[in-house]
Amino acid sequence: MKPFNHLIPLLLVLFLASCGEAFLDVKPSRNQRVPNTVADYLALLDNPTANNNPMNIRSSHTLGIIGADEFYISTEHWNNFSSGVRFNYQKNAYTWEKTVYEGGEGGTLNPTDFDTGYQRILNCNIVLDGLANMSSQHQQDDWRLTRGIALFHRALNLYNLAQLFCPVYNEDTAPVDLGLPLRLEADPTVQLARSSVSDTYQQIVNDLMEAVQLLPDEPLVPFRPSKAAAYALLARAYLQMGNYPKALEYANRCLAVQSALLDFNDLEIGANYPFPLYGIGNVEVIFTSSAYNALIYGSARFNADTSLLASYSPEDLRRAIYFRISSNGQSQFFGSYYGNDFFFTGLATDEVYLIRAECHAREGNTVEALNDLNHLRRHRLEATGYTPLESADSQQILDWVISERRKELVLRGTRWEDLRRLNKDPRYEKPLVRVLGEQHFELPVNHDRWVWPFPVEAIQAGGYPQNDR
Amino acid sequence: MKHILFLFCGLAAISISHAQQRLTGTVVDLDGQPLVGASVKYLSNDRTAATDTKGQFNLPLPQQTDTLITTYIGYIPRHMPVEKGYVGPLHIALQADPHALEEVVVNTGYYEVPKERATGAFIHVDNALINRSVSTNILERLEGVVNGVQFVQPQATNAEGIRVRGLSTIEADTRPLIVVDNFPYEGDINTINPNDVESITVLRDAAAASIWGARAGNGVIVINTKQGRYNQPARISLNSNVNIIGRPNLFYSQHYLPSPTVMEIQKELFERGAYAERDQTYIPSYVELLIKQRDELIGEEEFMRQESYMQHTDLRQQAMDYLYQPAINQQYALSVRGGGDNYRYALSAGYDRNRASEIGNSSNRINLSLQNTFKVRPNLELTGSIWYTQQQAINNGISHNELGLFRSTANSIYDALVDANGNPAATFSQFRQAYREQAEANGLLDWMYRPLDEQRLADNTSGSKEMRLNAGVRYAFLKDFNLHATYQYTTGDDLSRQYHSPEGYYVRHLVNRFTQADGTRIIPHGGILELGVPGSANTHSGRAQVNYNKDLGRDHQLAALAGGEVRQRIAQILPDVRLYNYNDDLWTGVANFDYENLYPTLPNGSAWLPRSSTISPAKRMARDLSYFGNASYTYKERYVLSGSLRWDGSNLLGVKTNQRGTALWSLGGSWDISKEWFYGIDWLPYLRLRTTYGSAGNIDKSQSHYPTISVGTNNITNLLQATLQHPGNPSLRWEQVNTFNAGLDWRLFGTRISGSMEYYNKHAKYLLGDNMMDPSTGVGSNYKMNYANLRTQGWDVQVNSLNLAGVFQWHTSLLFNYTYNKVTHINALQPSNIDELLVSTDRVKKGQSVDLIYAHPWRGLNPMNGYPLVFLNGEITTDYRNYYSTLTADDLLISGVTVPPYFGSIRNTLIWKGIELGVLVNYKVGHVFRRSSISSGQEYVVNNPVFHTDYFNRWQQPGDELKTNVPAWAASYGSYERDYLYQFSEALITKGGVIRLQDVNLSYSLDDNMVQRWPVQRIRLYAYARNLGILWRANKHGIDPDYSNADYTAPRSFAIGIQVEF
Repeated sequence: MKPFNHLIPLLLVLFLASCGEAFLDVKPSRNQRVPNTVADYLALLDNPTANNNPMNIRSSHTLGIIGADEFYISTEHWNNFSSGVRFNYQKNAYTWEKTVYEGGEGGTLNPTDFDTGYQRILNCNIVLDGLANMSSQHQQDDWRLTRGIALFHRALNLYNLAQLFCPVYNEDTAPVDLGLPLRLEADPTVQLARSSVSDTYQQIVNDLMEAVQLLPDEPLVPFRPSKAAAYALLARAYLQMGNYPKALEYANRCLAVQSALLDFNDLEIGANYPFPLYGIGNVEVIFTSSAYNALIYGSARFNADTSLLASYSPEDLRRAIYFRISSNGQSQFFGSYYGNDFFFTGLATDEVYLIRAECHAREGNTVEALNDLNHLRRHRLEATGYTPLESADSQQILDWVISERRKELVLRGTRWEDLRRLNKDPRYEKPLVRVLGEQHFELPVNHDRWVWPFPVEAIQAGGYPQNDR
Repeated sequence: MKHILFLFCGLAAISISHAQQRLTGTVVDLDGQPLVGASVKYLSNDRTAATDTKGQFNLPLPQQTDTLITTYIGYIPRHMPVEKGYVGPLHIALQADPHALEEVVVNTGYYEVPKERATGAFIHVDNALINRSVSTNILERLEGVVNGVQFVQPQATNAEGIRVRGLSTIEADTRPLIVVDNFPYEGDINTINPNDVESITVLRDAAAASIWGARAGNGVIVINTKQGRYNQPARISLNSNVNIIGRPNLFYSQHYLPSPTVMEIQKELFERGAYAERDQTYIPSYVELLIKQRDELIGEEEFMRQESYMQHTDLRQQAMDYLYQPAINQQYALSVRGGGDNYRYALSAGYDRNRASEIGNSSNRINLSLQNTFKVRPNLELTGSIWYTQQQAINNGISHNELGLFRSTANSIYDALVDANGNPAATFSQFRQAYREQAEANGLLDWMYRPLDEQRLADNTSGSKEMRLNAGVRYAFLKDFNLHATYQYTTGDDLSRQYHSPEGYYVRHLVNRFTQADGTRIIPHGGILELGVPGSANTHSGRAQVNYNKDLGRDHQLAALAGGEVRQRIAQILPDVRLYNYNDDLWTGVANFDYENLYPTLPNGSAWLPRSSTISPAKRMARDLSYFGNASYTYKERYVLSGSLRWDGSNLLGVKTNQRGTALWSLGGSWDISKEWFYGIDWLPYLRLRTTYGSAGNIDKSQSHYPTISVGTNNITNLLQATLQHPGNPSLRWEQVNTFNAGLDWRLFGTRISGSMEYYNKHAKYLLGDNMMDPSTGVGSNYKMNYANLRTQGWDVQVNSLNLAGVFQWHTSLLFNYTYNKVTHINALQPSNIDELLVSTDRVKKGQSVDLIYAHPWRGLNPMNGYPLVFLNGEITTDYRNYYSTLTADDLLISGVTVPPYFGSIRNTLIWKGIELGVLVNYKVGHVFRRSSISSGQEYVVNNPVFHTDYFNRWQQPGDELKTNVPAWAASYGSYERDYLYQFSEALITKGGVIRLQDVNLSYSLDDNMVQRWPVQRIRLYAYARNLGILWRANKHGIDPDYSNADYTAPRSFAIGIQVEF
């Protein structure tokens, strides 16, 4: 027998042993991987509409829309409203119950504001953590763009969550008021406490100030933020904080980049959806996103608030562009800048004009305030019926701007935050009332229930103090 | 050195000089029949010969006075002295070993070991046991005959429905590993033809896991196909049977109310004005009739006639008559096996033809296989085999589900499939019947749906192919070593096709729906072809192992093996296809339509044109690498020590390099007490104790240490988009299962009674599961933590007895199994929402079984109104919503487990001459199930009524609460809370115990003495009946606990067949 014959088995075994680790290095699938390039991280943020952690849909506005005064549902719809974990919190929110979440909400079928907001923040933190480890690429354009987008989204989501789950910003108490848990890294095992409201807003401002340095003037697609978007959000945040000079400054900077308005006279009244899909091609849209279509304000049950409908003057085109009466008598909303049934919750130039007008009015710059207000109205009223508003009384002008905000920014997700902000001012405070059959529900001005509670799971597993209601 | 060389040359010279002279002989049994393949060897030098087809052998002449040892499986070995130079011829008669049944060789897929020397918990299922039942699926034949194997789904035909010794994981894969011809099998188990299977070995303990690695934590089922043997004359075997399975009994379900009752309810709803008479809203046909009566479109006499027809119609009966038929499964199998001196082979062909119970459904399967083994040199054996399976199915049947029977979203029970004249009747479709009747008058196509026409027009097929190629080499080298290297390639694909003919409802409906106001048709009135997502998979597996077997004198035996295994499986899918205006004769169709814009649709709304799904092609590659070693040492044939070690790794995504694999080990020992010198218990001639302990691992491949993403293109922005697949879990680790097994094998009173008794304890640690996460982490539901420990323990007891011996024989085989699992540690918060606990399946609680079931406490019905009695602040309340909101998880009762902890079977076999009768009785006790019942007022929900026969047992007047738990009627559906308090209450928790006559088989064998005149060796005629009924059940509601929520139970089946061997 040749000695070589004895070697064959040995060689075979050695061959197998040498396959070792390299054999297992192959990825299980082409399109699944551990992100490790700037392009991978950018792709994670360019994820507008997918089911997992979408960046531009299901924005955290559901409770605000349900709790505000822009729609109502009939007693019959109320009585027949579905039960179960997916729907109970919507009913609870509609009547501002003490308990809103009962536990077990969440998941892609049942996205809730708190969960989706923090899921997007997780995406941002994964990106920011990953980019931080690529020190050699810090000066590259795509690295800077990606970091800018991530910072913007984190700020936007912190801002939206703060409007629902933190007390309204009050300069005197903000350092002690309970803010959000500030998740700034992706590791889910990190335990956090709730920050203060001032820390929360400071984080929003810090993220945006850096994003401004990194973002381009104009985005490639409206799903991506731009410099204009960061400025607009800064203006919105400072307005919420009552810092009118800063809000004015950033509104100016935003409008210096993007200022176009649509003329509603050019729109086709009665078109199925008057505005283009996803805001693509809408010159007013700075950054596009939409809200979750919760059952309670879905088109089958939705009725526009009657006082809102009554507030439009006859020559105001918005009444007919935004609203239509359905065959069963419901006044339904078609005016979403998202171009379909989903409410637009992004940023647009009309809002920035209104922020600037309000800041001017509050600072006593009556001419500038009226300029902005009339500029917007000229694009909204019938050309034949338009007359500019004239006044030298800054209080009068502020009244006009505040009421214009409600008429213009319908179902943009901003109504709830405006109500909270304006409640601090006795001139504009507004208690809310719901009537369902025999039952009356009221949300008094500055009541604790203007702050929504954290989900049960956040209290149990995160150990955060609950908001007092 | 010189001396040795000299001696060697001398010996060589002697052997050459005697080259012509050899010792010859014949080996026969006591009847004088030659024994083929018996082994004859010299004690002094291990020179061995095998007997040929005539039982003859020859050996070199004995060099000294020596002993010749003759062995043959199933016979007592014989030692025979021979003188130096003796030439024979010898006549060696062997006596059959009465213990031969115990001489079972277990094939683990890596090595073969006599069962008497195995330390692990192996179960061998021989060919006779496999063949006692008739089925097209191999796994089904194990139900009730394998100790420790539990069919969680009755009649399970895949690994999902089977548990081997309870659970060892909570949320990871619970399937036992299936191995076919030494390689893990991941294809459709239905491709295996049971007629090709020689034996099955079930590995149940840690020794099993450390042989088969990480995927074996749930047990291993090793399937071995039939092989040829050297020096065996060709054996041709033919088997054919026909199995008739009764049609489903739709009268079993309780989810219905009889026609007159449903009509009364609908009439009341109609009178309440509950039906919106809109074109787009379906209205039950009796209500349509009432509308016609109200609008005076129909005469009173005609109304009465139609109403009466409905009252006397029962859709269940119609469905059984027109949609179902007895299923008929025909099976034909042919195999040829044999071999010569240097060649052995097995060849088989199988054809199965199944007529399904739904009229219009059928399937067939073709199996072909060829296995060749060549002995190229005495120490080198090459094997090449091929298996091919093709399955085709026609799926044109309509099931009762499609009619909405029992689920009442659609037809009512009084609807008919045929009208009074016996023609196909129109039944439910979307939209109002009155609207659809007008369709043709409005210039549309006929919009009626007639199930019996659809059954005829449907043209749906699916098919799959699978091929398996094996190549192997076995090479003996040095003295005690042999190398065994094998390679397997499998490839398979599947396809499905649906052709919707222009006459069918599907096409007519779509054409009508997309007909525009001006009458133009967006969808042409032609056929529509759908080709399902084509899937394919292939696997390469290779294994090389070196075996070492050494007898070190009489008292010491050592067997060891070591080797490695690699494996790669690629599975891919491609996009599906959808063609409109498809001409089935010319194979032409079009797909270029505008799918982006909404079209107005009839009767209302707007919609996009249905298109093929826009899934992208996907390819997944799984790679595994393993190293293994295994050794056993036997001392004095009574002490066995065994051990094994294995490392398994996979190309897991997103884990650290050192987490890709896991190491597994086991240790075992056995002691044959009855062979000890001091042993003297006469009535217990055989007693052997064995035990193993080992550790195995398991991982959930969806989990990841690092974040992982899935990349695609967004269809709006056309930019690269990534979705987060897993956020990353830095503390992820493998699940670990430590298993202890102790067994006692024994035999009483000679060989009359034998059996085994085994205890096992599996302790699983670091089990992965959904933990409640703080939502501010952003981590969603796809996030698992190593959060629980689980202990599963149990007993497997088997007793075989020969109650009567002689011409009339009576054998009994009794199986008793107990298994119970308990969560010993859990690091997760309880869900705060009690509905989650009641409804969801993963409700793990410390100190409880994973299979637990929760229920609301039940305090009976309120005597005032007949609704569930609840107390809020000490007072009876009707505010169910408020009461419900006060309930917490602690208020719920744990009402038992849903999987039987005690189960087993008794199998009796009676043999008289060639006639054999077997009866198998199964039992399961100790578990509960949740019975269904009514929910007050849900009969009155317009869109989705729920009916249940408990309606007739409901509370109707004060006093009824003493004899019923079924709540009172309600005019409309109230709160779900009131409902849940009953539906999920203790009142509906029902004992699941059942004793079932599972099957009876009867066979008659004509052996070769009786069929001498024919060119056959054996003929066996057999009959087999299955699902014969329940002998005892713990519940008094007529519910079969194995089918508590099913629409019907498994129908009885009856088979006859013939098996011929040439």
